[in-house]
Amino acid sequence: MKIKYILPAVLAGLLAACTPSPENVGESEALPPIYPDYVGVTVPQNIAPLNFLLRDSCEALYVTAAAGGYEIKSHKKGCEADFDLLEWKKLMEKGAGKGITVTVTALIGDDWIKYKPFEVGVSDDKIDSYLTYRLIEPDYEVFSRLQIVERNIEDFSERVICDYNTVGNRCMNCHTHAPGDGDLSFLYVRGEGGGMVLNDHGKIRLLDFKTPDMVSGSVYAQFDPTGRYIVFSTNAIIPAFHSRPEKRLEVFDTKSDVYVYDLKQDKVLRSPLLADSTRLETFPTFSSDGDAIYYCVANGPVRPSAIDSVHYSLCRIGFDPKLGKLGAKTDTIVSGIPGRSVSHPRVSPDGKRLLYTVSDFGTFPIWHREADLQMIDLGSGKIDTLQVVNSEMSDTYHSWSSTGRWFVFASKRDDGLYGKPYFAHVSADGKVSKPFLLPQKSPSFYDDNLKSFNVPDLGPAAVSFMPRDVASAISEGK
Amino acid sequence: MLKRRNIIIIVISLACCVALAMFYATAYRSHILWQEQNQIFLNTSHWIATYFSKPAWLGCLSGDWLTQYFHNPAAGAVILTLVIAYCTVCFGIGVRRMFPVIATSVLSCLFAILLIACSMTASTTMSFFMCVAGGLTLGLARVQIRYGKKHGLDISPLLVIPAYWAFGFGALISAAFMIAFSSRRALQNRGDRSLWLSALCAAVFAAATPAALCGFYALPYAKGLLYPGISEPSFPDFEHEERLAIADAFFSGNHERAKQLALNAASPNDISAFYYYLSSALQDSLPDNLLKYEVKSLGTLTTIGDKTPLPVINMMNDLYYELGDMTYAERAAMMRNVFSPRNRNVRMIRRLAEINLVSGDTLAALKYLRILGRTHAYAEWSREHMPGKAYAEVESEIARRRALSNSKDNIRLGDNCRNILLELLESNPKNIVALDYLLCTDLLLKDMDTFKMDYDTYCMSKGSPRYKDLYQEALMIYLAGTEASQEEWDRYVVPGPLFESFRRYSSRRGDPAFRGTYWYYFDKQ
Repeated sequence: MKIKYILPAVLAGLLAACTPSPENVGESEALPPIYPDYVGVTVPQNIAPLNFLLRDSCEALYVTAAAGGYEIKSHKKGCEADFDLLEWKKLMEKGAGKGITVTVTALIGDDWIKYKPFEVGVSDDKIDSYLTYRLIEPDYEVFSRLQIVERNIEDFSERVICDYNTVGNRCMNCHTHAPGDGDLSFLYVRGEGGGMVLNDHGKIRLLDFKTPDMVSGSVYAQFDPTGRYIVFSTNAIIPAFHSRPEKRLEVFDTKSDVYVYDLKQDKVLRSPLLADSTRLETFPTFSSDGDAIYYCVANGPVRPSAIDSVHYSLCRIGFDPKLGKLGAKTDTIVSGIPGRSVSHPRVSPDGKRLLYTVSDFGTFPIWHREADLQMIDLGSGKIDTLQVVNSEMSDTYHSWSSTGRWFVFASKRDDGLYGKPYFAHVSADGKVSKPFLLPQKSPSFYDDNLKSFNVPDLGPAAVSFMPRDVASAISEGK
Repeated sequence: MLKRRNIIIIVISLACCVALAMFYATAYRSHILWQEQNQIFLNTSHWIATYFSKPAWLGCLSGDWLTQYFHNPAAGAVILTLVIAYCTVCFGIGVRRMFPVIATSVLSCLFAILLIACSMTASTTMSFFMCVAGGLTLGLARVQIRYGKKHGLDISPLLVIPAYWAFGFGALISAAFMIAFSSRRALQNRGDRSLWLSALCAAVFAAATPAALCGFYALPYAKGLLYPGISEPSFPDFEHEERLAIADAFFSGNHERAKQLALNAASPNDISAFYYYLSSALQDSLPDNLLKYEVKSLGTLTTIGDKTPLPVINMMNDLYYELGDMTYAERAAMMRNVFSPRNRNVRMIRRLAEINLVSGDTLAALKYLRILGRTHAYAEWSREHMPGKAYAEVESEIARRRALSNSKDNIRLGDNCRNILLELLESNPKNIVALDYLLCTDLLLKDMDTFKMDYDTYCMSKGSPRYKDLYQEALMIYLAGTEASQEEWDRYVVPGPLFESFRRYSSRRGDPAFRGTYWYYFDKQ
């Protein structure tokens, strides 16, 4: 055997020998205190390895994950477990439709302790492979060095799709895919000469459909199912602070209206029902067949001292995509009442359900600890409060996977400050499973990370543009 | 003879190094500490992996790694000196291959002076010096290679590519060395065109590598070419050093030293005044010292935003933390982090941990404490502050601060400090620091009606009049100006020498003999 083969083998052997192996293992009835919490979650079969760490001061960790007679392991010094990607993929195949069993054995002090094994459900339903999000400090008042990132959630690869370096350290936000089309999307680059940047399958252009009568450029926007229309709101946004430190920020609108932009005809469609100066219309989104627009509305005017009396209702207005015409009447789907202000409605791709956020009041649930997700069955009107999904902290900024079997949302459950992307499975009959956090190659990534994953959005394919394309669109737009 | 000359050069160089290290460790101590406080380095694999997302990974990684040891300014002084010395030696060795001894010595001296001048800039980083060192090392590697026609094609210009990957703009230094050396050799060996080709290749690679990689690194070309950034040379900024020293003394809890440094400042300014007053307030002597400092800056009229200088954001963080307003202390800390290298700095992470411990947000505090636990200098501090495991003195300090913090819930549209002070006093009327800042702000604005109203609300009506000469003097002005009844005088003013002095001043208004009294300030300043 040549030296080049012997040397790595010896080194690998030495490394393995350095890691203590379980012996005289004691059993514990407790579940392992792992982070992220993957105990009892349901994951798609195409997810990246669920690497985790043990929140205990252990010397070494021996973890096995098994399904259908196939077992993989992570055996390392320290408190972190990570799995080989290829082995993990095979394990997911074996466990698809059933689940995997994870057994954690830790060396704590001088004793090996085997925790109670736990199950991870593996769904046959695949999730869209790409997740985009903005990375920003959780203080939206100021920013520096922002990025919008696309992560492949089947592995750990990620790439920056809009970067502060190429757009002059401006604000940027809200990369949003068209329903079912991974490479039709838009994002915003704010500031002078900025605007909505449309990605039409790699062709990037700056859209400018702001008219003088609008209170601002577009703020919250969504595509229709065909990709021809974009429904958007214009909002006069006021950032404010709570004097109580745990409440931190409050952001509210003093004016807001909803419009539709026809990409094909380069025309803004309006309705007095959506631009009523006495009301605040916002958070518009199309229904899954494109023949209605859901949005939120509250009565104005808003006074900062009475912000807690502003409650948004969920409403619906018809839309004729062939004629490009908005309906003549609106319906209230969920009334805004004290303790229930609705925001961010999102219709599932199959049109059966609508997911939205409720908070005690106002329009910025990411800073409301009580903000929770709810899901309404659009057929029966029955509301699911999603107790298995929600936490003590803010849960909001959700979007559907193109299959309608998964949704992603930003949750601050871990520390109350930094939003992280959690995914939840929705079965065919509408049953929702315990959500799981986007896995990272290094399980301590989230501990050290000081950015929020802002407005996570799922897409079935990678976008085909680069940061320099966005920069070109902005400079050409000038 | 040559040996002796070399020995002299070495001795002089060593003496210069010692002098430079001494200078950094004493006269520029706070500048050294600032480097460490303005960044963070985590001892984790994924943190290290983040350096690969941009060019100059090795320069930035080694620079930040070394900077964490600047926590001890003496160690920082030695490290910085050694790196500058290393760069100078590399430069000297390279230049010596092209120039005679005298010219080499002069050029090396100039180069060392340039690097030292770069180290004087507030925004300079160790990454800059490590990129210079890396670029020089790779450039020197080329210079040291003996090359001739018989060796075939010169591939050394290819070194510029890994030089850019590892040291960013350091590649330009490598290329400059290669170009200079190859050109000189080409001039010596007129027949060897390959040396000209080699120089040309180095230049092309130096310019083209950033261009080729700017898409990958998401950097505009100009920024990519000079990544991670060039420090501009400057003279030592002792005023800045003075300000940093005052702020450091305050942050470390040495309020008396902060006051003395502020009093002894060669050029008193808003920052020295701010820390003088804040230190005084924490020693229950703000009213006693308000008129003793020539610059009047309490910070209560200062607002912060994305254009605010970093030291002022630090000041506001310190002010609100000491006053007890954790919302705005956190806001300033977040803002300060955002504008730091890699959007975080260790001082503000520590402050964020403290803020959340005081406001009882254990989950958020744990987040920051875990980060600090992965640093070289703050792991112990993190353990001492862990909720549930914190030291007794830490717990009592947190409890003391918590008692002073805001319990009111209002919506604030801006950083109106007056409203914040009122909220703090509504939450806890015993918050003397907030009370003094409120009253002293009124007095600096010479707003006697508001002063009287605030004094009545938070002193008289609470049954705890605050007998400080400053307030007595101000009340006398108000009472005299409103022709108050004797009953009012008796209620507010304590009879004694101060009252007698006021009577004398009333007949000699503006007399400099009364300089230092609020009456004189009110009339003349």
